Amino acid sequence: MRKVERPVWCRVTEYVLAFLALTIFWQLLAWVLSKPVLPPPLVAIKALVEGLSGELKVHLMVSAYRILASLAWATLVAVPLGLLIGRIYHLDRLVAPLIYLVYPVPKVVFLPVVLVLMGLGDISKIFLIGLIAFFQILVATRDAARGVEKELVYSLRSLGATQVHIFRHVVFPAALPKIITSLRIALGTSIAVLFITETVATSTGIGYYLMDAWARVAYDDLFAGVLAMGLMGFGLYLLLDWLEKRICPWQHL
Amino acid sequence: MSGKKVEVTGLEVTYNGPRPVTALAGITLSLEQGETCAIIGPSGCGKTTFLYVLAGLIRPSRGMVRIGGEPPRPGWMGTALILQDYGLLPWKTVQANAELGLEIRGTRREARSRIIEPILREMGLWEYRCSFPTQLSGGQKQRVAIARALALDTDLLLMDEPFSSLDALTREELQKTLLKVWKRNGTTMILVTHNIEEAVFLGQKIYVLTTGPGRIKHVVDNPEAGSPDYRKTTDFYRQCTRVRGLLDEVFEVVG
Repeated sequence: MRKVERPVWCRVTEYVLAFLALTIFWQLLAWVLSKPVLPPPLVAIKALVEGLSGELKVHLMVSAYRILASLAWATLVAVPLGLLIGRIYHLDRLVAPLIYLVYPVPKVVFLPVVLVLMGLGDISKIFLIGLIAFFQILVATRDAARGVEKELVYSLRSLGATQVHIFRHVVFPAALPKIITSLRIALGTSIAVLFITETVATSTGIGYYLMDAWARVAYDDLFAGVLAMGLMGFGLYLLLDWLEKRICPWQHL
Repeated sequence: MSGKKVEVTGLEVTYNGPRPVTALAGITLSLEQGETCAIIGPSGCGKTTFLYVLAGLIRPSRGMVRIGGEPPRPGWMGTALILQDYGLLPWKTVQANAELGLEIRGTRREARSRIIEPILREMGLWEYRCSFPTQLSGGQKQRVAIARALALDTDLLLMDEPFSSLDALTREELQKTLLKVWKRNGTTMILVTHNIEEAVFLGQKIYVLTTGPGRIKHVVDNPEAGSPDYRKTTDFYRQCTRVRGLLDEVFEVVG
């Protein structure tokens, strides 16, 4: 069934209403619990606004950079590889067992090893977050490339298309919407892994900020960090939505 | 551009696999330049396989196929294949879809636009040039597929049930469009269809195929095909009845 595109004001209203509903729920919960560990939303929002003009802003920028860099390398490597193994049977036979063996292993367990091998800086974090996103994007891209309609390929081959033409005009655009979907899924996982990587041997990033706030028993700062992390994720989701509309316009008619 | 002569002798196509399947066997036919032919038969008689062989997409297991004296190969200049589901790319606009063959053959953007504009205008698609296929009706989609074939200066047009998913009026209108193109360009046309009226209206020769493996069971000469008023004549109905009878025979054999 065709999607009905709603006007922008309608979608904004929906988001505002959802935010209000969550805030009310949070406020009620804070009243019921009545403990410092769950400050009311207005206190957290105030800490967020203050933080964003100071230290929190720096941590947020560092985390956003780590997420974007991780997703960028994962996409740049996983998409071409996924397209190739999705279309080249022999390559798939070679690579598929490796993927199936490695994919289910929770890559985050390699964090200590990665930190030792790649150091405590950004590289190790970007590598590990990207590694998890890489497998999610790779598997989705491969399946999308494999599922391309045979008739479309025949149609192009009858026009004299080479393999390069088929990849450019058929396989890649056919896989694009699924690649974007896999990026959305990978984004959620990446933020979770980001938190874990930023809690170990670092002094930057939202993960560090949250742990530090916890240690300081500064729950307003802690929730400001949670809100900042949520806002970053929300912003990146919106960015992906915008990107999808730009590069997959036929999906939004 | 005038059409190409098509010669097929003893064609056999077997799909390899754990259980090899012979789709076509002993197919021999010949089409003169600018001639039209319709291939009709039950499902699974290898009609589409036959078109793919002529388009160079499938290699014959046995026999000889010559188009203009040479074996077919994909993307051959002048051969165009129109598929049942139009073969349009959903992510390309009408104009980009129509220009695709030219783009693949390395024609520059300006030249492509110059070639495609009059064709899209003739097909009544110019206003829709920025639309995507999902925004078009079935008839319009098929026009885009025809426009793409015409842009390639086609001299052999291969069509796989091109109008099967269209309503009767749109189908007849597109058949007339096709005839206009055929008369103007002298294109050789091979049409695979399930529709008896369509086969009789467009095919100067009608090949009735049987299944298991696909073989030519009957050949019907139909020289009046291609005349726009043919549909209104008693000869047309007589030929339709004849082809229907031959098909009934095939279906009885197939069981």
